[in-house]
Amino acid sequence: MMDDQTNIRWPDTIYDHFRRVGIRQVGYVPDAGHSRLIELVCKDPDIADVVLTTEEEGVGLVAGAHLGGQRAALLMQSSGVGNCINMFSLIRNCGFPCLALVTMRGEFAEFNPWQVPMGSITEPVLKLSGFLTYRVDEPEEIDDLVGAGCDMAFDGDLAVAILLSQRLIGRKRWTK
Amino acid sequence: MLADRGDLMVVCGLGSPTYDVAAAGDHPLNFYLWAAMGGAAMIGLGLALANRSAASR
Repeated sequence: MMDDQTNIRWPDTIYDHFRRVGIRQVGYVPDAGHSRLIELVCKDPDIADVVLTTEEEGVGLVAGAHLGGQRAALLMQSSGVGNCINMFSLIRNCGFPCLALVTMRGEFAEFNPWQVPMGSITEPVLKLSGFLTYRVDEPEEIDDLVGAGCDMAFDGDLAVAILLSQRLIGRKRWTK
Repeated sequence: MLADRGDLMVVCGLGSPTYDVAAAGDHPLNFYLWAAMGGAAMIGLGLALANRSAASR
């Protein structure tokens, strides 16, 4: 598989904000859009990288991290948001902070129609689940929006989701 | 386990485990789920990772 992700810098900017606000645990499932950020997190000895079987496990992880006095972030794809809906009850009922970075599928230049149903309702589903949502379409917006999202989540004990648009991530190309 | 719990942190899943742990005596280191089914083990993992020095004792 090849994609347009060579030489992109925005995952490094997200990582810099993770360091700035002291993220100590990151839950993720393998994802091409998040691959660079996952690589940075896995190399960092101060961050526990937890590979999940399903995204909803990550909601439990961030709740447990908060109970233990640490900050955590959750990386997922738009389809993973659908897997989390019931588990988001935990965040909402307990008023825990939750920072989710969501790579979008099912929109710009999508080649897989199975990604479209969830991708087209990801943002409203997050809002209905009690998240504040911010959408990033341009690389120049990353620093400001991710910085603001981190601060709102952890200074305000809020659930915040940053949606990384498919256009930002770049076209995915599959090779034989 | 709960009779001599020391600083054991307990996360229990919704329903009977929550009722049983609460019935054994409430404690500041108990965290009860009453929904969010399937969340207990991962909450425990996040909590344990955040308290590695305590967990290794």
